[in-house]
Amino acid sequence: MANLKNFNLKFSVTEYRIALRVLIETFKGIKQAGIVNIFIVGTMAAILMIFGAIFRTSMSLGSLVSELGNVLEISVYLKPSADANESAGLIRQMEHVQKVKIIAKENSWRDMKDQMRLPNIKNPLPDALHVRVDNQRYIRSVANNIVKQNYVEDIRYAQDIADKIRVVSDISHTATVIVLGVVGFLTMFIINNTIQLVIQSRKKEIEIMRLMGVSNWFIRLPYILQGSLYGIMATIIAIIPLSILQGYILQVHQFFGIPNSENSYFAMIFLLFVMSSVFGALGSLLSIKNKLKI
Amino acid sequence: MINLRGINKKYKNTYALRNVNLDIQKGEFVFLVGSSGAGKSTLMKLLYREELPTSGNVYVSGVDVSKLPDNKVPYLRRNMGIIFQDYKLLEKQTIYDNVAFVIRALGVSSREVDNRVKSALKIVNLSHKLKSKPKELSGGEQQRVGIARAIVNGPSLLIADEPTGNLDPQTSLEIMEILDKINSRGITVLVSTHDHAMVNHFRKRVITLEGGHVIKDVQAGTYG
Repeated sequence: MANLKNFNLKFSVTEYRIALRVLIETFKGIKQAGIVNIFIVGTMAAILMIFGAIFRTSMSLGSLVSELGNVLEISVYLKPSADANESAGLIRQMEHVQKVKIIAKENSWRDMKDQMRLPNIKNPLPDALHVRVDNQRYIRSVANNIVKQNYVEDIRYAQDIADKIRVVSDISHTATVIVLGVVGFLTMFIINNTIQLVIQSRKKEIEIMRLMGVSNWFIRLPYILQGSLYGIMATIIAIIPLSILQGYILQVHQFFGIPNSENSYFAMIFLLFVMSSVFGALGSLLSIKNKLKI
Repeated sequence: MINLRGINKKYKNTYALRNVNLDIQKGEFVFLVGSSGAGKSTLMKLLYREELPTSGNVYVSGVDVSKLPDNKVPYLRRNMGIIFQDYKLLEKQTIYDNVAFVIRALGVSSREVDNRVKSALKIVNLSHKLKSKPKELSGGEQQRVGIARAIVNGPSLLIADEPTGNLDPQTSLEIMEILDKINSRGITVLVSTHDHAMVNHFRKRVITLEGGHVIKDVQAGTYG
């Protein structure tokens, strides 16, 4: 019984052998599940594909919205008594203001005369400022703030477009979060039920291992790995249709002149791998907690 | 080797064991006898921490098993061999794999696994059945596989819960002879049984339980 008091964990050849054995047990569990594996991985791949597609589209929509938002600006018309430089300085200090460009009334008048045949009258135009915000969702609040200033005669901006862009952006973000929750739940549900069946079919083996002194983690770990592996395999399958979708998305990006987002694609793949393996492992952990009494 | 001090085990309103005090020395061969429900299995389960006593202390090799944290229980069991009445063999695996799979899980090298499995199967006279499946074996042979699996990790204590309960007298005798042979190698053997003939044949120490009490503890004893 000397071993009983002396079992500090040293990562030796023995531990490597045990790790190898854990992997063998994991693959044995997958092999034992037989044709069920195809249904599990197939279902999970379909779920991940839907999530991936929504996530990837949402990312693209985000880029599109951001690009559109960036070109939206507020035109501020100053009172004749106002000093353009001073007014621009004051507006620059406002929150969420990214850039202020002064459009001198002389330049505006010259442009107008270039475009239209106008009589030789005195320049009636005021000095104007073009204001850009750091995020299009703040355009309304910045505009409301500017219009209150006593040096401002009037303002103009595409309020409707700005509001719609903000709504689309919010909906796509909310949809991604909801779908992430649903995918997480479904993945865990599927893995949980599968691992419960596997545990049930290996009940005798588990009991013998337990009574013969096999470590608890050695008994549990193969099931956790099995759950993770299902997630990884499903992700690999889901990547195929998502790659095709990526091709179409790139075409749309080119059409609208939105910057190419290769990183978004890799971010999505990385997220899918992490998410599916973590949710897979969590699903297994749940069934171990409920069904595997050691 | 084994020391039980003031053991009480209660299931709901029924006592399975009442104030049991017991000492078993290293290398002893002990029969634990009594009718069904006397508390034999409960007592054995306390030794390998499948059950916890309601009160009292269970010492195995000086370690208080009843106070052992759950994560250390596997280390206790690795130093014991447990034999079951229903053999508990894996039907789909060969005899070799049935004996080997536990020590493989403990990280023993393939060569060492091979040596130990063959040596254990030799002790139980089953060297020629390495590749057979449990269903191809008789009850006695299956129990011998169970014994080989119990001794393959070199335990200092062998616990056999009704090992001959499902066997005919002749086969039972063969099983007991194997356990006796293992005991002669210095391994402490504790066998629960209600087979009178077997106990009387071997003339070992006999501890009799009745209604959860130890009512008799006799060296070279008999039963019935």
